[in-house]
Amino acid sequence: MIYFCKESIKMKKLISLSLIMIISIFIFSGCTAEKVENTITIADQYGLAYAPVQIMKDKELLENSTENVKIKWKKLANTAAIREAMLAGEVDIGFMAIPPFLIGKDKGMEWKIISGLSICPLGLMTYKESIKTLADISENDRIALPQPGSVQHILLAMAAKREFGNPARFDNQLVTMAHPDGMNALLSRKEITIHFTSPPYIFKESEEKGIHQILNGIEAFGGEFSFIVGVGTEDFYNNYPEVYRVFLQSLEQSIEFINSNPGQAARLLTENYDISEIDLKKYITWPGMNYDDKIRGLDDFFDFMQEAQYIGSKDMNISQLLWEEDLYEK
Amino acid sequence: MKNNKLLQRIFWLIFLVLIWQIVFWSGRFSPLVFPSLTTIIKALAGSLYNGELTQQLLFSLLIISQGLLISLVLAIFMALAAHFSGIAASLIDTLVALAHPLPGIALMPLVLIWFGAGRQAILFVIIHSVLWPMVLNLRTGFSSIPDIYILVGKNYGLDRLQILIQIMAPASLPYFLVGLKIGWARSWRALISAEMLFGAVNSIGGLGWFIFQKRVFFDLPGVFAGIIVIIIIGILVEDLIFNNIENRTVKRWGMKS
Amino acid sequence: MMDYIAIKNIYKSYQQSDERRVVLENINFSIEKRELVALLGPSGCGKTTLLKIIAGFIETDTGGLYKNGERLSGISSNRIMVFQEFKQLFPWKTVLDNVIFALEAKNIAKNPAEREEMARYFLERVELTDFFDYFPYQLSGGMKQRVALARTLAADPEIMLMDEPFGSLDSQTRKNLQDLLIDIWQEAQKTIIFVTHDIEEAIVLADRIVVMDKNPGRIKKIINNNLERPRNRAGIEFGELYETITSV
Ligand SMILES: Nc1ncnc2c1ncn2[C@@H]1O[C@H](COP(=O)(O)OP(=O)(O)OP(=O)(O)O)[C@@H](O)[C@H]1O
Ligand SMILES: [Mg+2]
Repeated sequence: MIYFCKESIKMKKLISLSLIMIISIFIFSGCTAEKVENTITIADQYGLAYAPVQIMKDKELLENSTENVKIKWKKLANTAAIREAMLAGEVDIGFMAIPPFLIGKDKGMEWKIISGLSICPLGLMTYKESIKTLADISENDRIALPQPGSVQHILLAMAAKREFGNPARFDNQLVTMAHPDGMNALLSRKEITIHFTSPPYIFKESEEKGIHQILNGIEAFGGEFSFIVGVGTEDFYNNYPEVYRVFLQSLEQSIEFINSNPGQAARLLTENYDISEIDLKKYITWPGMNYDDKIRGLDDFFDFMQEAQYIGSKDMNISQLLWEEDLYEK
Repeated sequence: MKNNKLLQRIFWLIFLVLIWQIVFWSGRFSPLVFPSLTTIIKALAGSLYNGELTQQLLFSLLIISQGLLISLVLAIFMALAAHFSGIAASLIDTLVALAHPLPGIALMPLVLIWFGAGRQAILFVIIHSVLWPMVLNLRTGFSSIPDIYILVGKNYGLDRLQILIQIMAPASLPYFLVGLKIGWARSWRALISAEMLFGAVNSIGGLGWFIFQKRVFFDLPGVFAGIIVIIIIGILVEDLIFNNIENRTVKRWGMKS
Repeated sequence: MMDYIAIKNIYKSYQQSDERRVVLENINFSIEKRELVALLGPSGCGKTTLLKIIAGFIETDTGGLYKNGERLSGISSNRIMVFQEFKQLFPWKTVLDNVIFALEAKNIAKNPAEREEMARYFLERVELTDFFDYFPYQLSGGMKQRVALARTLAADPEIMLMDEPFGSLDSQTRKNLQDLLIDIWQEAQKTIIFVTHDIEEAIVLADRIVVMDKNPGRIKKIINNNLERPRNRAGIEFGELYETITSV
């Protein structure tokens, strides 16, 4: 009997000890990815919309005008990954479209927009002759786009709301695909009949025989809007005001460079994009392709997403969404 | 003994849940990273209640059973062909050697082009991940049947089909079950990851799609809810179905230690 | 007069590494109906090989097996083998079901209930009344061989081929089973060919003892055993016969 009691006391001791140990490990050790001192990490994605970021990196604009700060560059596969990396404290500045930014903000991410980056032609492409307008899309059509909650999805919902009064009209027909997969699926002319895409895939698809556009981004949105914006964490804004400044200058510089020397920019970019210099030049000067650091369309995105309940109902003023308001365009 | 095991399991589960909650209370992490138990349970209950999760779960289970069934039939045919014919054996062994080490997800970009993003694509990936380990295990199972069983069967006048059903099938059951277990685990993973990477395959989508959706809308408690469901399904299938089958067959027969 | 079973002129050789090895050479003998014949010989003399030939599991090089003058070939459920190995029972069937298997395979009895009753009878016959629902792994070696015996009896073959079925049992169990076999044999009136390398076992059981030698396996002598049954292992005549066989 005594033996058993001893045993169970021992057991209890062991358990409470391990409990304390595990908890303290969790609480006191740095479990979140600890930020390396004085390193700023900037993340973007693949695509022509991010060309100024690539230029900034290749010309080392930021590195050349900061001291004591290390700059790291990251390419991530999608917006969700960028958002998660920023939440984990691994990335300080991330580039993404406005809707995913708003979704994160709504859920409590401590981040705000720094600047605009690009305005791009977006398009809803199909190989089906019979589809001329949104109304021609049947229940059996499948629409490929990067992910629910992406700018493409929100644009489609905006168009659906305007035409049919129901933003969710196409929600059950969406298939999540990264742009290259979406393009391949569309070109194989099988189940994916429609693809909501962006440069350079939209250029390639529109040059393909038998593929046509049903809707473009401006029609869907009802005006011009920033396709990609740069977003910074609170931690970055508060601790590195100097870098913030320099970052904005470098960004402006590289946008300026692309806009005034598209030929040179294309030569620089061709190494990083799997596209020839000639095509690249054609693409970055394509009508509707504008690199621009103004932030456009924020209010309309916010209002629509709130009304359609993609984000919650708490109101936010512009200072909660932007670090500084100089670049804001109503 | 069995009861004791169950109690221990429950104890450790409560232990882990407690740690979770204490870490949450400590406030060391933002609730975005480390949501509280109550929000997770609320998210789970909410998703179950509005039928979204239940439907997606059913969809996942349905497609996986379908994939398992098809793979099973194919694997049995292939293993039998290989068992009785040398040419078939060399062909099938080559196929297994080529395909077995290849993760289904790696094939996905091709599958999308061949089959489209529909049900067939997911089904293909499931079959791919189940079929090969199944064939391998059945092959080993058949070839490790002691000759004496077959001799006895022949001696008592059984024909080929009877030997197949009455002797080869039960004699290779331990291997068959191992194959089935591996197949289940692999297909469950393949399904979830295929859905997460490549999106809904019909208007409902499956469990992977549920998690993916929660992720893109930045709904972490929802992600956890999905993960909890995956864990529960895993435990149920492992403990209830497989253990039960084993207890009633190979363990009861002393064919498995 | 025609022999019931005649084994004529059997030769059998195996390819072993790079040479062909003769395992059985010029085997000739005959068996009468309901006779219990023992094949006695040292390990490796080809006893199992010969029994498998009689069962039809393997082919001969030349020569063959005749029943009432007619050549027999292939496997038949009229000649059922009881193996030396304990694992000849199906592990996934209970003791009772292993016996029922034989009845089903040979389509004996009209319905499952009747089969079960018969199976019980045969198990009682081998004195395994309390173990119907056991699985083979739960049985001792001797019990397993009893079940195998019951299964064979249930199949009701004309000829039972027994390959050292008691070879790996302790001597007490072995004696019990020998006695049991004699009882059953006398009652069921079967023809039995019993392989053994144990002289005593051969004398206790057999009407006739075929003494074999090895390299190559051949028949040295066939000895009639007319000792009165039940045979007394300690008797003088028993001892004399034992001597005769050892001196062969
Ligand atoms: N399948 C086979 N291939 C090659 N050689 C074989 C084969 N089966 C048996 N032999 C050889 O034939 C010979 C006789 O074997 P067999 O099993 O008939 O002997 P046995 O008299 O039954 O011996 P034991 O008393 O040890 O059982 C042995 O030398 C064995 O090596
Ligand atoms: Mg032998």
